[in-house]
Order: sequence, then structure tokens, then C-alpha cells
Amino acid sequence: MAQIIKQKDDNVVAFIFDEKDTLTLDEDKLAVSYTGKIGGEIDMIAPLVNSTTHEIVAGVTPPIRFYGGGFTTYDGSSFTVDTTALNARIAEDPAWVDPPILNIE
Amino acid sequence: MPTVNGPDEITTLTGGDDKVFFTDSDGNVQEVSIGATGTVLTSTGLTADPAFSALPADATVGANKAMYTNNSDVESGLAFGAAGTVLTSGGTDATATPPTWEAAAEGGVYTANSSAAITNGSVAVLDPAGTLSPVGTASAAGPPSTVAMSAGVVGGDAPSAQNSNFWDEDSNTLFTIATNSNSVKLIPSTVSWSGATPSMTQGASIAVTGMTSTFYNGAMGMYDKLNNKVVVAGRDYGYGNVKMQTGTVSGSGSSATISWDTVTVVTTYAPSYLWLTYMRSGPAYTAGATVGMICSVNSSGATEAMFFDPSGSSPVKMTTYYGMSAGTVGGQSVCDGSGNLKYPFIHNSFGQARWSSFYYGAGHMGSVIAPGMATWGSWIDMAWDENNNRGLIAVATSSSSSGNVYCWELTDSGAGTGAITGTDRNWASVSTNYMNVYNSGSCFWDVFSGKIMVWWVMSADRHAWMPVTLSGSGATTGTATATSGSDWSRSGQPYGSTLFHSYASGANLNFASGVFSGSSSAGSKNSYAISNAYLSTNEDAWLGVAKNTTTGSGQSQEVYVIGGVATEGLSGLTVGSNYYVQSSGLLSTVNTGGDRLVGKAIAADKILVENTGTGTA
Repeated sequence: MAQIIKQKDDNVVAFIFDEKDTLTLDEDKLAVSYTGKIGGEIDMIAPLVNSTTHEIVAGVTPPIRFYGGGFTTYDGSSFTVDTTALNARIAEDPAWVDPPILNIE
Repeated sequence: MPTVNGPDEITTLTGGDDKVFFTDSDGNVQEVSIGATGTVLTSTGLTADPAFSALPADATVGANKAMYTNNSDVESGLAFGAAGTVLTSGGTDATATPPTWEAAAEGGVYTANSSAAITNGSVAVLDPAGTLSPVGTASAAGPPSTVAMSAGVVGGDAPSAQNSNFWDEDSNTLFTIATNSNSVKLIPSTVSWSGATPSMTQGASIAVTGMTSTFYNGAMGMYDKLNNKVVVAGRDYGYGNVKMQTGTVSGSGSSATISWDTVTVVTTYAPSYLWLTYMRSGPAYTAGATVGMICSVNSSGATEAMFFDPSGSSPVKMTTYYGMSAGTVGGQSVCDGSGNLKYPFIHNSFGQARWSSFYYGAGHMGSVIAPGMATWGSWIDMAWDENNNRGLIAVATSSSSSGNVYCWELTDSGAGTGAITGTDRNWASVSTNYMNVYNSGSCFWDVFSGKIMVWWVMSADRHAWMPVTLSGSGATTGTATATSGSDWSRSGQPYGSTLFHSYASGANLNFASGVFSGSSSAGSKNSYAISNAYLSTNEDAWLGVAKNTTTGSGQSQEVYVIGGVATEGLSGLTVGSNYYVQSSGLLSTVNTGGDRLVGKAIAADKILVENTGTGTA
């Protein structure tokens, strides 16, 4: 299963993590410790994500691919990709490659 | 005392105690009392009685004098001369020609004819013909030296398709950004030069620990000299954002290692292009935001510029500015002399080359570059002339294999104003300069030659370079020089081969340029090379410091060589500091690592020449 970070106001998904990862969402940032890390070592921080604007949703079945960057929303039960916006983005970026298949069970 | 009437009458002679006898001018024996201890009997003349008197004092010639004797052994005193003068013999007969104090002879001065104008106080070079020239830099004859190939990239790491390498001037390490299975790597290399030929020793790849799902060509790097950190930013296609990670380098060259800080997510979108720039001067530098990052085509289709302070455990974003809609192709962003972050790009929708200028604390300015012709498939890049505070934007405007190159000179009109003027020059409009834009190129500031260098990839497995001078009235181009064919193999990939640069200073070298064979798939093996465009310099043959100023050839040029004290044309020197030959021929305490030591300042306007020619820095 996965846990996601999504915006509270429009459900746009910012991140998808394995449930085994440790997430700390507070007032000024998101801090992530990936699975298997010993102690409180932080692997990544995201100052743009905070507990005022975002929330953690756990127990989520992940999609096959995650289109970040504002293209994917989660309404509490399923993911939706804004294909119109995504295709427009792909069209203007000749270097575009699809995101990888998620490796989350 | 008896009376004696002549010698015949002397039978006995008696006198008082402690007397000595003498005869006077009448022949009569007289006596005189023995004097005090240490006194001697001294004549007072033929008719006067001798007397005991003290020994005369040591000979003296007065204060502050040098003593000499004449041809009669008579001692004389010669008052000391002025400071710095030396005692000079007048010959073997000091009576006839006494010694004198004279100005010191100027040892360490060499005189020869000039072959060109030389200004006093600057360095003069001994020509092969024996004449004297100013320091100068010239393009080496023939192609831009040997291309030193490096046989492949370690472990299949694929160099990024954008500017892929940067130089850590503190550890003397060339870092190449690469990806392998979407993980970002830095490949450390030792770069060295022997004469005109570069060589490179590649080390093991260093994983950028926080970047494991990055676009194959989506990572950029730079070196932050102020904070002594490498900075890497990557377009994360797994999460659709940009991550930035900083690290501290230990070791040097191919054996360098990096201790990484915490990776930080700095955007909520993944842009089309990403560029990092070290904001080395101006207000941005003062504010501590030493890292400028351009995200071209953000989620709203605009250019976004961000400034970061990487001094802590993770980079802190200081501010963000939004620029014009960005189009599709970007070029290397630069920091101008006023702290503006300038970014050139091609706007595909409008078919124009444009630029943006982001000023820390003020916002964004920008404009269309006239005439601005450019389309998708064009190539664009930018470099900044740090000496003249002017920039160059080079654009290749054709997608054919026989494209042209236009370049514009940009003038920085002050902090925050961002106004740019320039003149377009199509210097590659002749067939010999045709450029294959699909194979890309780069332009960069070569501090050693004082010129901007433009590299591009040509057909037939060749690459070429062009020195460009920015004088304020439009770019002046030199002579394009190309390698011979088969020096390297182009890629057949859609985005072709890419050629990026990294400048490195050092003895008798100008720059290093990495040539990367591009790929459209991550992790594929790519060969790359390091090559240089060797600019010959006569700096190594410098002889001394010019004493006089000449205005052309055939004039008498005096030069202070080792042992000489150069003073003409010099002022404001720091006593005790070492001074080095600069590429301009002038002297400075600045030593960029390859500058030759001239000597030490012994006064504000004097340098004792201690070195010449190829002496070490």
C-alpha cells in the first residue's frame, strides 16, 4: 500500500510514498525518511509542502504510474489524471518521457 | 742640580728624583720631570723644553664619513652620499682623484629592440628573433589541438544532454553530470595539460543520493565557490518536481568524494529545462543567494527564476521571479556583472530568440532579440565577458546540417535595469563555418584569452571553435578553426551529440571542453572526450619588466631582469606582496594558479625582479 501527500483544497497529489516510509508533515515542511533508515535520518525535505496546505492520506492503492506536477488528483477513493493538461505538457516538451512504473506493492 | 759646563766636565750627574735629562739649545743638560702614567715625552720644538704629554687621541675624520687615505697615507673623511649611492673609486691615486659617492649602477637591465609597443611597468617577452614584445595571446596554428578521447563512461552512466560538466576550482576536479537508470551521478575527473594536449583521468561515479528518478537529461550542476559546495538540481519525473542537493567535496580530481546534504524539493512541477548559475557578483551575491536556478516552461508555461542559499544543511530558497513564456529551447544562464541572472531562450510559438534578466530583489526584465529569428531545432547559448561586462548570445538558426550562427552582443547597463543592446552578427554564414545545430554547441567566457569562445559541432565528425571579442560596438569574430575529421564520432540519436564546456585555469592552458555523445535513453553508454582549444601564449617567455615605454617596433626597449628593481610605470603596490604576470601583461598579486611570479614589491612603486621566463608560480 501507499501513502500520499495531497493538497487540501483541490486534492492535487504532490507525492506518493511506500507506506513503510516515514513522513513528518509539519507547519513548514515535509520530511521523509525512506524505508530501512536507522534512526531519524532525513532523506528528503520539501519546504513547499506543509500541514496547512497539504495532508497525508494512508492506506492508498497506488496507480501504475504517477504523473506528478499537478496532473493527478485523489478524491479519497481513486486517482484521476488530467489528460488534457498532461497531453498539452507532453506536446510542448520534446524531451518528455513517461514516469516510471511505481514500485509500491 | 749641578751646573755642568760642557761634556768634558761631566763626570757625575746627579739630579732630582724622577727626572729625565736633555740638553737645551745651548748644550746645557737640563732635566724634566717624568710625566704621569701613560704619557710620553713629546717635543715642543727645537728651542723649547720637551714635556710629557698624553698620547694623541685616535685619528678622526668627523661624523658620518667614510675614511680613506691618499697617496701619502694621510687619512681623510668622505661624507656619506645620498641613500642608495655607493662608494666609487676615482682611480689608484686618491690624492689626484678622491673616491666619490655615486648612484648605484642599474644591474639587471637588459636592452634590445622592441618588436611592438610596450608600456613601462608591464611585462616584456623575449621573441625568438631577440626582440622584445608585450605579453599576448594568439590562436595556435592549426586545429584546436589534439582531442583527448576518454573511452566511454564508467558503468554506462549517460552524461546529461544539457550542460553536463562543471569545474570545482578548489579541488581541481571536473565533474560530469550523468544519469544511470534515472539515478543522477557525478563523475569526477582529473584534467591535466601538457603543452597543447589535454588528458583526463576518470574516477568512479559518485551517486547523488537524493536523486533516483530523474529525467535522463534532466540534471544540472554547478560549483558554489563561496560556500565550497557542489550543487545539483534534477527534474524528477517520478514525482514531477525539481530536487536540489548540495555536497562538500573531499579529495581531488578522479579520487574526489562528496558528502551530501539533505535533498530538498524546490518546485512542485518538473520544467522542460533546468539551468544552474553561480551568482558570483552583484547584489545577489551579497544577499547570500549564490545559486540561481532557471526553470524553463513551468506548470504555467513561463520561465521561473529562483535564488537559493546553499550554505546550510539543505538549500534555502530566497525568492522566485516569473519571466516570459518560455518556449521550448533554452541556453545556459549566466550571471552578469550586476548580479542579474540572464537567460536566453528560443520561443517556438513566436519563432524568436529572446532573453530574460532576473535581478535579485527587483524582479524580471526581458526582451526579444532583434531580429530574433529562431525556430525549434535552433540552438542557443550565452556567455558573459567578465572583463568588459558584456554578454554574447549565440544562436544557430537552421536545423539543416549547414546552418548559420548569429550572435548578439549584450551590454549590462546597471543593476536592476537589465537593458540590453546589441548587434547581430552572422559569422557562420559561409560554408566553412556551417553549423549542425542538431549537434549543438556551447559558448563560454575564456578568462585566459579575454574572449568568448563558441564551440559547435560540424558535419563529418568535426568540431570547430571561434574566438569572439566584445568591444561595445558589436561582436568581433576571429577565425574559425575546425578539427580534422574522425576525431570523434557523432551520435545518431535524435538529439544528436552535444558539446558542453567547463573552464579550467592552469599553467599554459585555456579551457577544457567536454564533448558528449548524446542519447535519448537513460543509462546507455556514451563516449565522451575532453578537448581544448589551445591558445598559444608567449607568457612563458617573459623576460622582465619594461623600464621605458615604446610605441612600436625598432625602438630601444630596456627591461628589468632578475636582480633589477622595476619602478617606472608602477604605483600602488603592496610592500612584501608577490606580483605575477597577468594575461594582459600587467602585474598583479592575483595568481590564478598558472601566473608566473615576477617578484616582490619592495616599495609602493618598486618591484624586485626575482624570476623570469618559465619560473614557477
